[in-house]
Amino acid sequence: MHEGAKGVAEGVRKGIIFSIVTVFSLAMLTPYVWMLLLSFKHQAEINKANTFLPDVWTLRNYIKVFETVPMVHWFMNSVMVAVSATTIVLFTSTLVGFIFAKYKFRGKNIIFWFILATMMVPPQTTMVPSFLLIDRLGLYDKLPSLVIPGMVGGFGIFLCRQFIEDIPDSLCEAALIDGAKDFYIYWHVIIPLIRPAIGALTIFTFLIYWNEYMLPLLYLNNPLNMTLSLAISFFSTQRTTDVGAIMAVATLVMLPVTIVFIAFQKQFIKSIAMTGVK
Amino acid sequence: MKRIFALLISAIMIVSLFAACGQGGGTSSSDGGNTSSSSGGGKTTVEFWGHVNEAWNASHRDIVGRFNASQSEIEVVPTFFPYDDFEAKIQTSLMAGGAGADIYEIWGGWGLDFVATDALSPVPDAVIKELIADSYEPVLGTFKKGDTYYGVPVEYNNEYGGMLVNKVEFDKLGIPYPETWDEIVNVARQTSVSNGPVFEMRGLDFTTDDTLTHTFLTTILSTGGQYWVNDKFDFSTPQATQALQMLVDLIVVDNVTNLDSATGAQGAEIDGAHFLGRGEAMMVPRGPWVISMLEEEYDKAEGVDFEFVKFPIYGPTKAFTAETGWSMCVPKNTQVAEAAWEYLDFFLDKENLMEHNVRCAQIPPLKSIAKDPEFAKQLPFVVPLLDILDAGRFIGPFNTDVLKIGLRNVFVSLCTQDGTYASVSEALTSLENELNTTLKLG
Amino acid sequence: MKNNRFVAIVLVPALTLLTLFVIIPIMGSFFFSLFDYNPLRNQNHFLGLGNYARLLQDSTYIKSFQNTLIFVFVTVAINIALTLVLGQFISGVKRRWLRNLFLVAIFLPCVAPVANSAVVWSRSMYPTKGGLINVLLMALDITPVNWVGSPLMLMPALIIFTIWVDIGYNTVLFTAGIDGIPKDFYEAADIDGAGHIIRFFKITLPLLGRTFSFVTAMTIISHFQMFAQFEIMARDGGPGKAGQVLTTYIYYSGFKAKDMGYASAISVTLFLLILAVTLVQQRLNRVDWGY
Repeated sequence: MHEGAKGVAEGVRKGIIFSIVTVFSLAMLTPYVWMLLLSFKHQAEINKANTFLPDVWTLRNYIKVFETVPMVHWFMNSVMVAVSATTIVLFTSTLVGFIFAKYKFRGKNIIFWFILATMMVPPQTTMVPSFLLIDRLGLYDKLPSLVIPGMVGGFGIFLCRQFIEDIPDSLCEAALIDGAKDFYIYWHVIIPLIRPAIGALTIFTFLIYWNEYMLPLLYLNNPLNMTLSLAISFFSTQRTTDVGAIMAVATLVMLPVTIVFIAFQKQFIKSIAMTGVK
Repeated sequence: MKRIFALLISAIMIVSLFAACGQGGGTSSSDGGNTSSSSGGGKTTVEFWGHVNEAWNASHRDIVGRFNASQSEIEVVPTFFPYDDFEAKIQTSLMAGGAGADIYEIWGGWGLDFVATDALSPVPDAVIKELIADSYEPVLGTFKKGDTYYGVPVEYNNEYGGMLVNKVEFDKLGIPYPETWDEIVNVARQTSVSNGPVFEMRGLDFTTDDTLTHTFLTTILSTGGQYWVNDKFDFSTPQATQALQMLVDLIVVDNVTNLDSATGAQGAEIDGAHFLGRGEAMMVPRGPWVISMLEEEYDKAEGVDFEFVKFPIYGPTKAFTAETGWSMCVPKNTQVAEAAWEYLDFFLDKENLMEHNVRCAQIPPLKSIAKDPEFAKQLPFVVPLLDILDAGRFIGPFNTDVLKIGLRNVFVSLCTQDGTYASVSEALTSLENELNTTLKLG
Repeated sequence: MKNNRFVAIVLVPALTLLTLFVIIPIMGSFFFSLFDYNPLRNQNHFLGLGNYARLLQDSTYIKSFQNTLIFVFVTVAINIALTLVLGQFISGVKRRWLRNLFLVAIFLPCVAPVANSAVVWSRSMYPTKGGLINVLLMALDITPVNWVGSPLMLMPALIIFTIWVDIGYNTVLFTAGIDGIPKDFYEAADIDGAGHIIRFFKITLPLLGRTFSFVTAMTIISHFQMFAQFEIMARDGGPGKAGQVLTTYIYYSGFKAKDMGYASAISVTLFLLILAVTLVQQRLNRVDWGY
């Protein structure tokens, strides 16, 4: 009797929780649904603001976007920046992480603290000197200006060190006895064993570069050199009133990564979970 | 082992180099002439940067096209940037010596910031002499430092003296357009319809930065006050308090519109002209240049859907404020100054400039064009403004954006009664102090 | 292992890069903050601490400072509380595909550029006329709210948006963290007859310790750095400067007012602020970075 009541209460509790989470998830999606719907509406209908679903579905907004701004070009720029930056960050993070996880040397702790401390310096606080530096290096208005400053990063090193430390020293030592050199160990012993961490860092880094807004705003000038994250503000200040077309740009900007995310959601979620501290 | 490492390092170097070159070669189709003074074919490339405005850009492109076709030495390449980022782009590109333009379209309101530096090159004597003789006072104001001028005007920016009226609605009501200040406020009061923060119809929308600022300053001048004394702002006069109080009352007491045009409640800089374009405003004081925007973006026609009529000056003194409008400047670090001035000379040619002013619905900066009957014939709706041009006073040697933002914030605080200021005069004291601090260091 | 040469080959370039792109710029900020600096001028005057003295009198600066603190603490507090609860709830969902579905919905805003989403919200969710939130409010006969156009509501609007855009990461991390807590702890609690809320505070939270302090630290740092949504939703600081924060004020001072010395002084104070908050937070939480 008592057990049964408890079971019912438990069921009700589960039901309530389930409904809360469902409603919440739907609410999270609402802005995107609304964005999609607006992007298929005529301007006049949007101005009247009295419909939810479009009265007449139109592709006019999308056509206009492709006619006025080089979306594909911007997309390619974003891909180039995010892919090259992610590749480089992966390489440096795993290698430096390996050094800190497996090597003994003087000043190790101090240097590691130094690297962690650089994480506390947000790029916003160095806007002015960074800009001048980028210019002196001849990188102004060039895509590498977005990649080169972040080639070594504290977070990636920190994450990789954690994962590499879990690999038993004996594996490395065995390889060493077999005559393997340091880089060989890194490449053939360590890298294969931290694949999950690499996956996680890939997603994490890629999203950071893909979504970066301030640096491209500062460092890039020519409209053709811009990245996708600038597309929306470029377009929306150019055609202030055209909400439908602005929503079409927003949709197009989101589309590629969203598709990848949904297609690989399981790996994505698992990887992101791994960037937390174990 | 060491070799693999070296290989990898060099691979990274190559990848980043490749990326750099790929960028340089792949996407710079339009900035080919930025750094080198001459590109293939022996032509000198002149980069011209302006801000995005579809009607204006079309006119610029046509004039550039004619110039490029008229000779074989110089190729002018125009690029247009969204206005919001444009000022920062000019600043960063000027800082990055050599990666910017050879001609910049600069807005007089913030042009002073560039004039005050050493970044712009002086206008050649031959060009400026003619301009000084023929132009109205406000159009060169910003670009004068000592006896030297650093920019040439494209327009007489006139944000005061005219207003858009919603012809369709006035016809429906069967009343004539109001002419005096009191009539305007009366009609505005009666026609406004609102539900909380949502306005269905705005009687008189004047809270856009430009309109608010010029109405405030013009009202001070016209009632016998001054706001710029000894190279400083002075808002301590009774005229200033009275002017701002009157504008606040239009919102708080008369409820003729709300602050949407000042605050971006629609999520963007959507102002009175846009509301009129949507048929949600009766009267909007504004410069004539928005007419081309209404025709372009809302498919509305002057004379059919709306008209442009006189907006009165509040007080007895007939004077209104005007900023130095859009102008053209040549940076000091350009390699092709001569070619740049050659183009500007072409652009300032009376015929070309008049055509540009007509297409952009701008008031001409030059008396010889403004007084030319041909101009009035081509742009009949600006006629109400042409008689008052001599009453225009240069707004003053300061960054007008700083004033506009400061005034906007004070105005919003007062109208929403958010408790920041106990009275209008207290708000003005605070605004005066804030603005004068920025002057000292500017 | 030991191989000083290999360590040097790796660390020297890495540390050089960090010095070049992090240490030198932050020192540059300190340096420029002592000048009335504008690179377009041939001469720049040395001001000493003049820019810092000006900060104390600048009401916009004081407002941005307050706004930044309010924004960070309110947003992070709500973010952490909300994501903990969500993590707890989602972790209780047994069906794999279902919980992935929830996580996908909650994480989706994290894969789009913040600037993009900020424009979507400011143009389609928040407008007084036609904004979805107000359309729904009006359908319920509630007076519409002027979200981004009133000094009072702008900051709440920014906070709501930021929570929406940023809870994805933390929800995933907490869900994983709670999943990782061995079930025997809860079974023991069941025998003791502890309620769900007590269980949450007595078991879940303490056992989540490291994840919790790590997530809090990262969230605080990242919120101090937020820029895009302020730049987009609060033009020039927004009405009454209610949306002006330090990051946007740096951008405004440096690149619009073109007063780079002053912008650098603001940068330095933001840097010190983040440093102080991080140190306090780590002391309180004893974040174990491992070493």
